[in-house]
Amino acid sequence: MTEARGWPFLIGAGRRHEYRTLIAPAFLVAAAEYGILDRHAGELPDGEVSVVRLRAGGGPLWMAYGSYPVTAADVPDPRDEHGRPLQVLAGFVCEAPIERPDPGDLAITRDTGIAVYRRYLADEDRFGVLASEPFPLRSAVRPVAPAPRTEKGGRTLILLVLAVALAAVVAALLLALPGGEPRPACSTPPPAAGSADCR
Amino acid sequence: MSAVVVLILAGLIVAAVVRLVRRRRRAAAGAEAGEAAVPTFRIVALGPRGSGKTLLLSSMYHEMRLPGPRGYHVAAPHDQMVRLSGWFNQVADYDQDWPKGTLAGDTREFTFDVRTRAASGAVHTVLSLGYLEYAGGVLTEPRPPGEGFQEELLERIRSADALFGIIDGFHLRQWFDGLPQGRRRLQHALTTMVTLMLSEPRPITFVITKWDLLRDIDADEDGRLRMVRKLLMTNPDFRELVKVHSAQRVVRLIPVSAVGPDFAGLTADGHVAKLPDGEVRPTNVDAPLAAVVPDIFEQVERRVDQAKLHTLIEGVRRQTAGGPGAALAELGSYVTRAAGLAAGALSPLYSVFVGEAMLELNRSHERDQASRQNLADRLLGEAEREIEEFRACRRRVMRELRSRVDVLEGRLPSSRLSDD
Repeated sequence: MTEARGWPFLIGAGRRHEYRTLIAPAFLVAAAEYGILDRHAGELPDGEVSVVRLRAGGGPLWMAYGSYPVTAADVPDPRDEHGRPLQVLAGFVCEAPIERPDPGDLAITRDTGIAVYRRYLADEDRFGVLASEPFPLRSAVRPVAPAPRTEKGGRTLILLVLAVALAAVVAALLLALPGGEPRPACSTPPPAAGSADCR
Repeated sequence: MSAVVVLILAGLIVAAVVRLVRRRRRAAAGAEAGEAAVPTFRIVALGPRGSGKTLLLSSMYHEMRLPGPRGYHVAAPHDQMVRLSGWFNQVADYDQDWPKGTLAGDTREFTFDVRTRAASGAVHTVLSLGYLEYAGGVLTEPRPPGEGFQEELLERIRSADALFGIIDGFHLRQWFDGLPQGRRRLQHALTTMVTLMLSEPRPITFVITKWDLLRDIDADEDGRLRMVRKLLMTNPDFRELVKVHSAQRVVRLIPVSAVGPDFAGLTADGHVAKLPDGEVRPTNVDAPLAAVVPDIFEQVERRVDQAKLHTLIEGVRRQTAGGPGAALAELGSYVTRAAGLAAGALSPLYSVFVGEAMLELNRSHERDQASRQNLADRLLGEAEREIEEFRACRRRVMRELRSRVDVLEGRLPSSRLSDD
């Protein structure tokens, strides 16, 4: 049992329209970023579940989802206009790495998703996207790890480059300027042998 | 003093970075040289959701994977072959549903090598084809923000070597049947496709999918195609596109069926369903490729040859840096002569030959001039034979592709849109 939260999402095709996100986490809808779900959701054999890391920066996110055939019990005549079977991808988004998606969590997202899907099929042209709120997960998740090494490494690299650039500039200035030793004031006539050279 | 240390440190870092960048550039140049051996033509089929792009792809592969009566065949990597065969088998199985539509997240490019067997028994890959598989709605419908596939698809279209415009035979059928949604959907798809194609100077071919659904429009196949053409020409955008592109090359309208005339039909409620005891007999699925490949090949042939020649000579120069000047002179002059004779894409074997020849010549720089000359003559003679065989193979494939289109045109004169 964890205290992690998951936001339901649903991707489905209409009878006429292309697969797209129909339910998305409220924060992704607010940020106009929910297409990230469409980008990462691919075809799965029925009954299989996939866990995908959505992004690393800007707040890491993971999603767990399954592919479900739409049945006659869900909607009448579950085919698109070309006679192909309808299916939906349903699952949840989580801010922590999902180690083992709980079937109960997926069932919740699938059931709530199908209810929304019916509304979508009733009016494909005018249906937008529904923002979802989080629910407590039963799925096993890992505590959020510290910032990924790559980012840290990237920051270190940037600092190193800046330091080197700065060093190079300083060195160049030092070279361009008169020598590091204090230079005596020169006057005519030239100083005697053994004194500082003014050339 | 510390300034000097910092300067040295900075200098060392800069030198290391420069070395790393140069090494990567050299590696990239090497990879490009390898890829340039056989040109890859990228084709994008523009069409809305459900228009039959995926079935056309799988049926085309199924039809062309064996030489059969042709002198060439296509080969795909194993994982792609498994996927394509899976789709085709699902289609052909009456007890299974049609395959589900393609998800946007499943966008991928399929690659085929077009191969042929030479008289010597050697199999040559004469060209490669890249065919983009994607969800049609990504092209014709608004997409969710942050997905990014639409922008990528548009870029792929801009960089494609040829475009197929997929016209859904199901919507044509609805249009003929007086159903307004058929006409509406088709007009929308045409407008989108034409807008994208109009500004592209690449070869285009229109493909009518699900041709089997139109079989009872007219008993005569060319009469049927003439009716469809007339209908399409009522769309001003389509008419304009044909007019503009016809100034450069022939624009064709090719009817295809991924399953053939007896496998599927329309149900009473207007759905496409498989027929019991139906047999899959794909129709014309190889013709769209035959229509565009020779055309695009002609356009890129010289460019590919020049790039390849340049790469080879540069490679020779690099390898002989500080080495025997005679080797460079012999190979350089031969490469130039061979390319002049070939005036076509050089065989991948030729690259292998140059590598081997360089090794031999470098090893033999201690030998006397006569033995080196003998070795060079032998290697050059072998390479000449290989190049000639490769070129003969390629000529034969191009001839067969052209002949396929000629046969189609003889049977269906209305497939030539440019005459309008």
